[in-house]
Amino acid sequence: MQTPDPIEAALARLMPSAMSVSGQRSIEEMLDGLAGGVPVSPVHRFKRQLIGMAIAASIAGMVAIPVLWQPAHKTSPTVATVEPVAASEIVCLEDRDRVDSIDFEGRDSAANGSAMKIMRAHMVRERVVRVPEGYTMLISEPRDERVYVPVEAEESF
Amino acid sequence: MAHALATEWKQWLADNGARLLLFARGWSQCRQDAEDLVQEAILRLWNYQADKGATPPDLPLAFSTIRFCGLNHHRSETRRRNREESVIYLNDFQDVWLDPVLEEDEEAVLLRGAVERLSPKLREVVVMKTWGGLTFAEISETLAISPNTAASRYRYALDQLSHELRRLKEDRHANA
Repeated sequence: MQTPDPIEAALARLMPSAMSVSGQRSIEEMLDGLAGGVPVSPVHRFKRQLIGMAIAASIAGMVAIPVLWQPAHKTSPTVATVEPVAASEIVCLEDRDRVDSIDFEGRDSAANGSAMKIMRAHMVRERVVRVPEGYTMLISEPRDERVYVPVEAEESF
Repeated sequence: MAHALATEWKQWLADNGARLLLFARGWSQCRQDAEDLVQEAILRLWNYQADKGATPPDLPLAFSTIRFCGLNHHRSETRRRNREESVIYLNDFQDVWLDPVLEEDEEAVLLRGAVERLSPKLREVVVMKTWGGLTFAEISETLAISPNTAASRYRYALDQLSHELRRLKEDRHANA
Protein backbone atom coordinates (compact mmCIF):
# COMPACT_ATOMS: atom_id res chain seq x y z
CA MET A 1 0.00 0.00 0.00
CA GLN A 2 1.33 3.40 -0.99
CA THR A 3 2.20 5.72 1.88
CA PRO A 4 0.66 9.16 1.44
CA ASP A 5 3.09 11.99 0.86
CA PRO A 6 3.53 13.92 4.14
CA ILE A 7 2.69 17.13 2.33
CA GLU A 8 -0.53 15.58 1.03
CA ALA A 9 -1.45 14.62 4.57
CA ALA A 10 -0.73 18.16 5.72
CA LEU A 11 -2.82 19.61 2.89
CA ALA A 12 -5.71 17.32 3.75
CA ARG A 13 -5.79 18.83 7.23
CA LEU A 14 -6.57 22.26 5.84
CA MET A 15 -10.22 22.95 5.12
CA PRO A 16 -11.54 25.40 2.51
CA SER A 17 -13.18 28.45 4.05
CA ALA A 18 -16.95 28.36 3.88
CA MET A 19 -18.92 30.88 1.87
CA SER A 20 -20.11 33.93 3.73
CA VAL A 21 -23.69 33.93 4.95
CA SER A 22 -24.59 36.78 2.60
CA GLY A 23 -22.92 35.07 -0.35
CA GLN A 24 -24.69 31.79 0.34
CA ARG A 25 -28.02 33.55 0.78
CA SER A 26 -27.57 35.50 -2.41
CA ILE A 27 -27.01 32.31 -4.41
CA GLU A 28 -29.90 30.54 -2.71
CA GLU A 29 -32.21 33.43 -3.55
CA MET A 30 -31.02 33.21 -7.13
CA LEU A 31 -31.73 29.47 -7.17
CA ASP A 32 -35.24 30.08 -5.80
CA GLY A 33 -35.79 32.61 -8.57
CA LEU A 34 -34.46 30.24 -11.22
CA ALA A 35 -36.56 27.35 -9.96
CA GLY A 36 -39.61 29.59 -9.96
CA GLY A 37 -39.02 30.51 -13.57
CA VAL A 38 -38.15 34.10 -12.78
CA PRO A 39 -35.45 35.48 -15.07
CA VAL A 40 -32.45 36.39 -12.96
CA SER A 41 -28.94 37.53 -13.54
CA PRO A 42 -25.93 37.42 -11.25
CA VAL A 43 -26.90 40.24 -8.97
CA HIS A 44 -24.40 40.09 -6.15
CA ARG A 45 -22.06 42.68 -7.58
CA PHE A 46 -24.99 44.61 -9.00
CA LYS A 47 -26.68 44.78 -5.63
CA ARG A 48 -23.53 46.21 -4.13
CA GLN A 49 -23.50 48.90 -6.80
CA LEU A 50 -27.11 49.72 -6.01
CA ILE A 51 -26.42 49.92 -2.31
CA GLY A 52 -23.36 52.04 -3.01
CA MET A 53 -25.42 54.34 -5.18
CA ALA A 54 -28.08 54.60 -2.51
CA ILE A 55 -25.52 55.43 0.16
CA ALA A 56 -23.77 57.93 -2.09
CA ALA A 57 -27.06 59.58 -2.98
CA SER A 58 -28.03 59.64 0.67
CA ILE A 59 -24.77 61.29 1.70
CA ALA A 60 -25.11 63.80 -1.12
CA GLY A 61 -28.64 64.53 0.00
CA MET A 62 -27.60 64.97 3.62
CA VAL A 63 -24.90 67.43 2.62
CA ALA A 64 -26.92 69.38 0.10
CA ILE A 65 -30.30 69.54 1.74
CA PRO A 66 -30.69 71.21 5.10
CA VAL A 67 -32.58 68.99 7.46
CA LEU A 68 -36.15 70.18 7.57
CA TRP A 69 -36.94 68.29 10.62
CA GLN A 70 -40.18 68.99 12.35
CA PRO A 71 -41.24 67.88 15.77
CA ALA A 72 -43.32 64.87 15.14
CA HIS A 73 -44.95 61.93 16.68
CA LYS A 74 -44.02 58.36 15.83
CA THR A 75 -44.03 57.36 12.19
CA SER A 76 -44.66 60.51 10.31
CA PRO A 77 -43.77 59.83 6.70
CA THR A 78 -42.55 62.62 4.50
CA VAL A 79 -42.84 61.40 0.95
CA ALA A 80 -41.17 63.10 -1.96
CA THR A 81 -41.85 61.70 -5.37
CA VAL A 82 -39.18 62.58 -7.88
CA GLU A 83 -39.14 62.54 -11.62
CA PRO A 84 -37.61 59.38 -13.04
CA VAL A 85 -33.92 60.05 -13.57
CA ALA A 86 -31.79 57.61 -15.48
CA ALA A 87 -28.59 56.68 -13.61
CA SER A 88 -26.53 54.01 -15.29
CA GLU A 89 -29.67 52.34 -16.65
CA ILE A 90 -31.25 52.32 -13.21
CA VAL A 91 -34.30 54.55 -12.99
CA CYS A 92 -35.24 56.08 -9.68
CA LEU A 93 -39.03 56.13 -9.47
CA GLU A 94 -39.45 57.41 -5.97
CA ASP A 95 -37.29 58.79 -3.19
CA ARG A 96 -38.77 59.25 0.23
CA ASP A 97 -37.59 59.97 3.72
CA ARG A 98 -39.63 59.04 6.75
CA VAL A 99 -39.25 59.35 10.47
CA ASP A 100 -39.67 55.92 11.98
CA SER A 101 -39.52 56.95 15.62
CA ILE A 102 -38.09 59.58 17.94
CA ASP A 103 -36.41 58.86 21.27
CA PHE A 104 -35.27 61.13 24.02
CA GLU A 105 -31.53 60.72 24.47
CA GLY A 106 -30.52 63.23 27.07
CA ARG A 107 -29.78 66.85 27.82
CA ASP A 108 -26.86 69.08 26.98
CA SER A 109 -25.99 72.72 26.99
CA ALA A 110 -25.32 74.83 23.94
CA ALA A 111 -22.28 77.07 23.47
CA ASN A 112 -24.19 80.02 24.90
CA GLY A 113 -25.08 78.03 27.98
CA SER A 114 -28.74 77.50 27.19
CA ALA A 115 -30.16 74.07 27.97
CA MET A 116 -30.77 71.75 25.04
CA LYS A 117 -32.68 68.55 24.79
CA ILE A 118 -31.13 65.80 22.65
CA MET A 119 -33.52 63.73 20.58
CA ARG A 120 -32.55 60.79 18.40
CA ALA A 121 -34.66 60.37 15.30
CA HIS A 122 -34.64 57.00 13.57
CA MET A 123 -35.01 57.90 9.91
CA VAL A 124 -35.48 55.63 6.94
CA ARG A 125 -34.68 56.64 3.41
CA GLU A 126 -36.47 54.54 0.83
CA ARG A 127 -35.80 54.57 -2.88
CA VAL A 128 -37.87 52.72 -5.43
CA VAL A 129 -35.75 51.98 -8.48
CA ARG A 130 -36.39 50.14 -11.70
CA VAL A 131 -33.45 48.01 -12.87
CA PRO A 132 -32.69 47.26 -16.52
CA GLU A 133 -34.19 43.76 -16.20
CA GLY A 134 -37.55 45.40 -15.51
CA TYR A 135 -37.83 44.71 -11.79
CA THR A 136 -38.79 47.31 -9.30
CA MET A 137 -36.66 47.27 -6.18
CA LEU A 138 -37.04 49.01 -2.85
CA ILE A 139 -33.80 50.16 -1.26
CA SER A 140 -34.31 50.86 2.39
CA GLU A 141 -31.61 52.73 4.26
CA PRO A 142 -32.19 53.32 7.96
CA ARG A 143 -30.15 55.92 9.78
CA ASP A 144 -30.14 57.81 13.04
CA GLU A 145 -30.06 61.58 13.35
CA ARG A 146 -29.40 63.49 16.52
CA VAL A 147 -31.40 66.66 16.95
CA TYR A 148 -30.79 69.37 19.54
CA VAL A 149 -33.90 71.15 20.66
CA PRO A 150 -33.95 74.19 22.97
CA VAL A 151 -35.62 73.30 26.21
CA GLU A 152 -38.15 76.13 25.67
CA ALA A 153 -39.44 74.17 22.71
CA GLU A 154 -39.77 71.07 24.83
CA GLU A 155 -43.46 71.45 25.24
CA SER A 156 -44.05 71.04 21.53
CA PHE A 157 -42.76 67.48 21.83
CA MET B 1 -41.43 20.55 -8.39
CA ALA B 2 -39.76 23.97 -8.53
CA HIS B 3 -39.25 23.87 -4.78
CA ALA B 4 -37.71 20.39 -4.93
CA LEU B 5 -35.36 21.52 -7.68
CA ALA B 6 -34.24 24.56 -5.73
CA THR B 7 -33.74 22.39 -2.66
CA GLU B 8 -31.62 19.95 -4.61
CA TRP B 9 -29.38 22.71 -5.92
CA LYS B 10 -29.12 24.32 -2.49
CA GLN B 11 -28.00 21.03 -1.04
CA TRP B 12 -25.45 20.72 -3.80
CA LEU B 13 -24.26 24.22 -2.96
CA ALA B 14 -24.06 23.36 0.73
CA ASP B 15 -21.97 20.28 -0.10
CA ASN B 16 -19.64 21.93 -2.57
CA GLY B 17 -19.77 25.68 -1.93
CA ALA B 18 -16.53 25.83 0.06
CA ARG B 19 -14.46 23.94 -2.50
CA LEU B 20 -15.95 25.96 -5.37
CA LEU B 21 -15.15 29.14 -3.47
CA LEU B 22 -11.59 27.98 -2.88
CA PHE B 23 -11.14 27.33 -6.58
CA ALA B 24 -12.71 30.69 -7.45
CA ARG B 25 -10.24 32.44 -5.13
CA GLY B 26 -7.55 31.72 -7.68
CA TRP B 27 -9.38 33.96 -10.10
CA SER B 28 -10.41 36.75 -7.76
CA GLN B 29 -8.93 39.63 -5.84
CA CYS B 30 -10.96 39.04 -2.71
CA ARG B 31 -13.48 36.75 -1.12
CA GLN B 32 -16.50 38.77 -2.28
CA ASP B 33 -15.33 38.67 -5.89
CA ALA B 34 -14.84 34.92 -5.56
CA GLU B 35 -18.38 34.51 -4.27
CA ASP B 36 -19.67 36.58 -7.18
CA LEU B 37 -17.73 34.32 -9.50
CA VAL B 38 -19.28 31.21 -7.95
CA GLN B 39 -22.71 32.77 -8.30
CA GLU B 40 -22.15 33.64 -11.93
CA ALA B 41 -20.90 30.13 -12.62
CA ILE B 42 -23.93 28.59 -10.93
CA LEU B 43 -26.24 30.70 -13.06
CA ARG B 44 -24.45 29.47 -16.19
CA LEU B 45 -24.56 25.91 -14.92
CA TRP B 46 -28.27 26.17 -14.23
CA ASN B 47 -28.94 27.19 -17.80
CA TYR B 48 -26.55 24.56 -19.09
CA GLN B 49 -28.15 21.80 -17.04
CA ALA B 50 -31.67 22.80 -18.09
CA ASP B 51 -31.36 20.50 -21.11
CA LYS B 52 -30.02 17.68 -18.96
CA GLY B 53 -32.82 17.24 -16.48
CA ALA B 54 -31.94 20.38 -14.54
CA THR B 55 -29.97 18.36 -12.00
CA PRO B 56 -26.96 19.89 -10.27
CA PRO B 57 -23.77 19.47 -12.29
CA ASP B 58 -20.82 17.27 -11.45
CA LEU B 59 -17.79 18.94 -9.94
CA PRO B 60 -15.47 18.87 -12.97
CA LEU B 61 -18.05 20.84 -14.94
CA ALA B 62 -18.52 23.28 -12.07
CA PHE B 63 -14.75 23.87 -11.79
CA SER B 64 -14.53 24.26 -15.52
CA THR B 65 -17.31 26.85 -15.56
CA ILE B 66 -15.77 28.82 -12.72
CA ARG B 67 -12.52 28.81 -14.64
CA PHE B 68 -14.28 30.05 -17.77
CA CYS B 69 -15.98 32.85 -15.85
CA GLY B 70 -12.69 33.65 -14.13
CA LEU B 71 -10.88 33.93 -17.44
CA ASN B 72 -13.53 36.31 -18.72
CA HIS B 73 -13.22 38.46 -15.64
CA HIS B 74 -9.46 38.32 -15.81
CA ARG B 75 -9.50 39.64 -19.37
CA SER B 76 -11.81 42.54 -18.56
CA GLU B 77 -9.94 43.20 -15.33
CA THR B 78 -6.63 43.33 -17.17
CA ARG B 79 -8.07 45.82 -19.63
CA ARG B 80 -9.46 47.89 -16.80
CA ARG B 81 -6.19 47.78 -14.87
CA ASN B 82 -4.28 48.91 -17.89
CA ARG B 83 -6.53 51.95 -17.97
CA GLU B 84 -6.04 52.62 -14.29
CA GLU B 85 -2.32 52.16 -13.90
CA SER B 86 -2.16 53.89 -10.57
CA VAL B 87 -4.34 51.34 -8.80
CA ILE B 88 -2.45 49.16 -6.33
CA TYR B 89 -4.10 46.08 -4.93
CA LEU B 90 -3.26 45.12 -1.40
CA ASN B 91 -3.93 41.76 0.13
CA ASP B 92 -6.15 41.55 3.12
CA PHE B 93 -4.06 39.44 5.43
CA GLN B 94 -7.07 38.28 7.40
CA ASP B 95 -8.75 37.15 4.21
CA VAL B 96 -7.59 33.57 4.03
CA TRP B 97 -8.46 30.94 1.46
CA LEU B 98 -8.26 27.99 3.77
CA ASP B 99 -9.96 27.91 7.10
CA PRO B 100 -7.58 28.72 9.93
CA VAL B 101 -10.03 27.66 12.62
CA LEU B 102 -9.39 23.97 12.31
CA GLU B 103 -5.66 24.16 11.91
CA GLU B 104 -3.73 26.86 13.66
CA ASP B 105 -0.44 25.07 14.16
CA GLU B 106 2.67 26.51 12.63
CA GLU B 107 2.88 24.06 9.77
CA ALA B 108 -0.74 24.61 8.73
CA VAL B 109 -0.34 28.37 8.70
CA LEU B 110 2.87 28.17 6.68
CA LEU B 111 1.36 25.67 4.28
CA ARG B 112 -1.72 27.81 3.78
CA GLY B 113 0.47 30.72 2.70
CA ALA B 114 2.54 28.47 0.46
CA VAL B 115 -0.58 27.20 -1.33
CA GLU B 116 -1.71 30.76 -1.97
CA ARG B 117 1.69 31.60 -3.42
CA LEU B 118 1.76 28.69 -5.86
CA SER B 119 1.53 29.67 -9.51
CA PRO B 120 -2.08 29.57 -10.78
CA LYS B 121 -1.38 26.57 -13.01
CA LEU B 122 -0.07 24.48 -10.15
CA ARG B 123 -2.53 25.77 -7.58
CA GLU B 124 -5.64 24.92 -9.56
CA VAL B 125 -4.50 21.32 -9.95
CA VAL B 126 -3.78 21.05 -6.21
CA VAL B 127 -7.15 22.57 -5.33
CA MET B 128 -9.08 20.29 -7.66
CA LYS B 129 -7.18 17.19 -6.54
CA THR B 130 -6.96 17.81 -2.80
CA TRP B 131 -10.18 19.62 -1.98
CA GLY B 132 -12.26 18.86 -5.06
CA GLY B 133 -11.45 15.15 -4.97
CA LEU B 134 -11.10 15.00 -8.75
CA THR B 135 -9.07 12.35 -10.53
CA PHE B 136 -6.27 13.33 -12.88
CA ALA B 137 -8.52 12.33 -15.77
CA GLU B 138 -11.23 14.72 -14.57
CA ILE B 139 -8.70 17.49 -13.96
CA SER B 140 -7.31 16.99 -17.44
CA GLU B 141 -10.81 17.42 -18.90
CA THR B 142 -11.44 20.53 -16.87
CA LEU B 143 -8.18 22.18 -17.86
CA ALA B 144 -7.99 20.75 -21.38
CA ILE B 145 -4.59 19.20 -20.69
CA SER B 146 -3.41 15.60 -20.74
CA PRO B 147 -3.77 13.47 -17.59
CA ASN B 148 0.02 13.13 -17.49
CA THR B 149 0.43 16.89 -17.49
CA ALA B 150 -2.12 17.16 -14.68
CA ALA B 151 -0.25 14.55 -12.65
CA SER B 152 3.10 16.22 -13.34
CA ARG B 153 1.81 19.58 -12.23
CA TYR B 154 0.47 18.02 -9.06
CA ARG B 155 3.74 16.32 -8.22
CA TYR B 156 5.68 19.49 -9.02
CA ALA B 157 3.35 21.52 -6.81
CA LEU B 158 3.82 19.09 -3.92
CA ASP B 159 7.59 19.30 -4.33
CA GLN B 160 7.41 23.08 -4.29
CA LEU B 161 5.21 23.08 -1.21
CA SER B 162 7.55 20.68 0.61
CA HIS B 163 10.55 22.77 -0.27
CA GLU B 164 8.81 26.04 0.66
CA LEU B 165 7.59 24.61 3.94
CA ARG B 166 11.05 23.36 4.86
CA ARG B 167 12.62 26.70 3.99
CA LEU B 168 10.06 28.69 5.98
CA LYS B 169 10.51 26.45 9.01
CA GLU B 170 14.28 26.80 8.85
CA ASP B 171 13.95 30.57 8.57
CA ARG B 172 11.67 30.70 11.57
CA HIS B 173 13.89 28.55 13.69
CA ALA B 174 16.93 30.53 12.66
CA ASN B 175 15.24 33.74 13.74
CA ALA B 176 13.90 32.26 16.98
